[in-house]
Amino acid sequence: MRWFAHITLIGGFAFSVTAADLKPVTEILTACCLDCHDAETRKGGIDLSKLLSEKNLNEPKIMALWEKVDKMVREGEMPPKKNDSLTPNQKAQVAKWYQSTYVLKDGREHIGQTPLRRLSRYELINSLEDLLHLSLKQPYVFSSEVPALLPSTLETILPPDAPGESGFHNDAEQLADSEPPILKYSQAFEYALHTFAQDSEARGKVFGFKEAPANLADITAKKILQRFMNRAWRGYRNADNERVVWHTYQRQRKDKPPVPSLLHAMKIAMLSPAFVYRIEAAKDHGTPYRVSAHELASRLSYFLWASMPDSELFTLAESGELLEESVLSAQIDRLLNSPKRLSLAEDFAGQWLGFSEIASNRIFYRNENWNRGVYDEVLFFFDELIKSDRSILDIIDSDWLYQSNYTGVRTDGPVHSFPLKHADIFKWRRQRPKGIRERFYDPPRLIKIKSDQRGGIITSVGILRATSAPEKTNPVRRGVWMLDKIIGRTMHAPENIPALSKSKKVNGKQLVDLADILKAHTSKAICISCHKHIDPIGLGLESFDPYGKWRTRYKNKRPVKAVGQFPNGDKFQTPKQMKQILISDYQEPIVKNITERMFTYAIGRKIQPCDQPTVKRIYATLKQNEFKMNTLIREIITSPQFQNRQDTP
Amino acid sequence: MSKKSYLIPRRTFLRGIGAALALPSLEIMSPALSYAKTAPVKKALRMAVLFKGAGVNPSSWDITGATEINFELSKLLSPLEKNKSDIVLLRNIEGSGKGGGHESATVNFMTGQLRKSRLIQRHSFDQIIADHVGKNTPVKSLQLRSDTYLDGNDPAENFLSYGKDGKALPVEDKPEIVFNHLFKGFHNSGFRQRTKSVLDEVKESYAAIVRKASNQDKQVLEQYLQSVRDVERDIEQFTTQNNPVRDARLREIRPVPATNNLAGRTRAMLELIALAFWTDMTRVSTLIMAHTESRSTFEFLGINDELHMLSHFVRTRNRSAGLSGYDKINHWYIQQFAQFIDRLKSLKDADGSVFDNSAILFGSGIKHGDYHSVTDLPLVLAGGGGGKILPGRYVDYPNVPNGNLHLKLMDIMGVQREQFGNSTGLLTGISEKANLAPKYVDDGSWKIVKESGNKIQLKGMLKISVKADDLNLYLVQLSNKQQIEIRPSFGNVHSLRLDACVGSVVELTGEFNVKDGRKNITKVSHCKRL
Repeated sequence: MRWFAHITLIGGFAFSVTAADLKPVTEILTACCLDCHDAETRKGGIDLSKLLSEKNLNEPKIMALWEKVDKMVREGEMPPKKNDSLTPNQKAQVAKWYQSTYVLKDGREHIGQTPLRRLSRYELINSLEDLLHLSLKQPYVFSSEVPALLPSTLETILPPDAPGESGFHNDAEQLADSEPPILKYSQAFEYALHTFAQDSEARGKVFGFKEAPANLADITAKKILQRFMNRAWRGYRNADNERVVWHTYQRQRKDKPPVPSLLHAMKIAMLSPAFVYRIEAAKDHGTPYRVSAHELASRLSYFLWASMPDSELFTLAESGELLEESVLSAQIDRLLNSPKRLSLAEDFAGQWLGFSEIASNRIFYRNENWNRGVYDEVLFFFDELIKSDRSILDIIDSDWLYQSNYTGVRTDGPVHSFPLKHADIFKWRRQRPKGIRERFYDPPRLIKIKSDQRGGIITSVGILRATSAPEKTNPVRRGVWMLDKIIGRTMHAPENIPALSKSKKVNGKQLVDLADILKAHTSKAICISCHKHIDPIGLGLESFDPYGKWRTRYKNKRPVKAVGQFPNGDKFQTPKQMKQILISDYQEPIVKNITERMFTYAIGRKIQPCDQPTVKRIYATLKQNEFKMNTLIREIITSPQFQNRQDTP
Repeated sequence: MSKKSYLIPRRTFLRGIGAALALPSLEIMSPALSYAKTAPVKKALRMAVLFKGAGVNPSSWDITGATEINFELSKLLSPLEKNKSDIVLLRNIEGSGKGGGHESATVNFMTGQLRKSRLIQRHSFDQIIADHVGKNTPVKSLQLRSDTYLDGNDPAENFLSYGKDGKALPVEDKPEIVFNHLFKGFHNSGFRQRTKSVLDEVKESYAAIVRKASNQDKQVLEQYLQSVRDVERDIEQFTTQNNPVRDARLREIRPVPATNNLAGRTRAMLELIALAFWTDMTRVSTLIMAHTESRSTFEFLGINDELHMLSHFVRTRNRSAGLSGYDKINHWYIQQFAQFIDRLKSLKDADGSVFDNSAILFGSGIKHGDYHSVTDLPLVLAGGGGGKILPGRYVDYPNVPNGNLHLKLMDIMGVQREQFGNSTGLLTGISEKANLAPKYVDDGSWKIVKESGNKIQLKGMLKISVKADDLNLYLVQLSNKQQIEIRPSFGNVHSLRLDACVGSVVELTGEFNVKDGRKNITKVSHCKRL
């Protein structure tokens, strides 16, 4: 009954640390870093004197600090002054120590401990739909009375998930630490089975008969349940657990007809941890070993569909063929061609980029068509990256986009030669439930554009709205959003902010332009370190009002100046130019960030130092393959973390 | 109440969402409770935290010239006029650190400490209470939000309650769903029966799986068994404890109307807490009424600016709604709080009303909306605490850490702990009169100590101007009744945390000029609380 409860921690997810000789590195730290970063000076709040001892290498704080040191040294950000830079040899020594201590295990690559994953609410609802051949999700109905997207009945029963350290709801550790809501599961499954019992189509698929028989041979019942358990447990076999379900059926049969008895046994099978968790056979090995075909099938379908494997995938897992490279490759293609791939746009991108808020957060509600149109534009855009295997850098800028008629923003361009290409994803959520009138809705269309104003997700109405107050834009919020979500640089709000308004006068001269005010404001060293990254991007987006409309003047008639300069000196005059600089100068961090986000979502845990080699490899492959989205997806699926298990860190 | 009257309001409740929600098997909604007439309800204590982040304008909030029992409410607190005898106004209770950013405000407010890391917080005091008293109710604790989710950089800001391991607990923001969680399912004896009947088999399933699981997976699966046992125990308790009072109340439950605006949602959430307390579904609840960085706008008050923007009122006072908008919003929140008090008082309980058996903490994690000071937090305690709160008072403490307050609230709820967060002891003056001696006695030493050139050093009581149009004006009160004005720059106040010294006797050095024969301090170089 403790659906909001939260109980004790799991000890499991630490890293293994086999410390290499620390001495050469401590010498470098002492000579080159401690002047500013000792316990007393603590410049920027960083105290590196804690790193001089070999004790506590396992502590999360120490690990995080070392990670920072490694990154800063690798990227040449520290030491800050050119003439104090570390020599290549010193850099190599720091890198080597970090690699052998945190990244590698006994000198070899490894994948960290594989966590046990419980289904997130999103995954659970999808799985129930597929398992029972039902439509249980709410079609996209925005309601002015909620006001947001209507929740489905299952969403009103099952409690929401909190995002974990990975940033996603499917975070294994977060789900492991929160108590599974058994009572709510029971209620949700009862509802799902109740719906199932009334649906002859669905019954036919699971039972093999549509009309309830007065009697059922035990052998037939056993077959039905066996097949159901195999599917529900995604190929995980456990004879004892199967016996529990079978005995349940037999007990029910004593005073109940066959169908209610089957339904009851099915509920028991669904309440088994084998359904709610994705259990994998563990060998208790500390080094990576390949998962079974069924386990791979599950990993694959939960990554690409956020749901259980379908019958084809299940069959290929049963025969073991899925473990063959060519078969796996063909299956990836097939899964990505299925409309179910929409989960990647909806669940993965919706959380990562935060545009799901347009659908679910009432502060963004305007009217049904506007919200639907704005949301669909971003959703379809992301899906298009997968569907047509486009470059992930199209997120920054593209010569195509999905355009809705309802957003109040229009970009000219010919409609794509496949105007209804999106029909596959649109169709399956078109039907409304009984009692809700179908309204005419024109979905966004794919258009080819030649526009200096538009292109990419970052200038979509959805993102521009989500990062603004209703009546004014906030360049800092937009800049921080870009750095965090797109470039992967997490910013912390400063604890001690000098006033923006106090910077309005410089040398007695009143400043009126926002760009100048920001510049004056951020002339202090402590501000510059962050604002040099934030401001150019935020200012570069000033040409768009809070609702994403292009503007050349503010409401007070002053001209908009979307001009700026990046820390490396590159200047831009328009948003288009800014985006081009992002693509050329920030390519590596952007691509690595997108890689890490998707990788994290796929494996259900936050990125760890041991993942560095994989991310590096994926980046290299992407670079050779025009940063294609499906190359990224394939590389994640074929990565050691995705293909293997490891039981101790 | 008849069965029928229970069912009709359900439709009323759902009308807002139209027919879209196909209800899970309808019988779940109908009550089938035991009618036994034994064992009256024992007195149960409840505790709620109403978090209205984003601070206040101190000039509008602070009460001046008051004694413990003789006090006039300030402008912001005026909606509590008729509730003066229901509340204890707490002054000079402070959080950890020198002043916080947005993201640490919630954590500091709930744990009396700064956070461990971006994602890991500390066990919050409400959850420590819930760990103890939550065992007795079907729902351990409620975590609610009437503000909207912030899809910001910082996940911690979205949560008030943190479990033992410091991880945030999910927060529900849809009143209709909270209603379902609280009042659907569990109360139906058929559903209870059906659920109970499967639990033995679920345990067998669990055993079969654990036998084959790896050691590390076993640790995770342990939670599953724990949850099954909890359900078992809850059903057992709910079924066997004859609780006619509770059952009668459950039959009277009226679904909370769903409305589409912030005002309606806030009221709905408060009503849900009231109902959950009344029916003893839970005894602990937290509600985020407003985030520190709230993006909510208040069209129904004629305010289209985001609350967070308005809260930085020193800097944004000249823009649109400005300071008056900020005050208006905070005033509105106090009104909601006052209505909640009245609601709890209207619900009869053992020995009086639910209000008499509750402790309600209303407040913000920062004081000054723009400077984010964590001293003299805006806090109001309401409720009788089952006789452990003596209301109708104004208590000005000698700067005590908020951990002491947390300890006291735990104590009221029957949880004894030695230490919590920044605590230095149990907060006194809650269950009994505080009888605190005046904090600062003017011993005649408040005066200008030194003066040379344009440099000045003085000692006195630091005050903030109460003039609404003069927001960055501070004053030092001297023994000779003279007040020296300080007009520092925003950055000066901010970097010195000058704001945090307001209300204390300070030793202050700075630069001054003379205007119309009066000394004005223009820059403060040093300020120490004595």
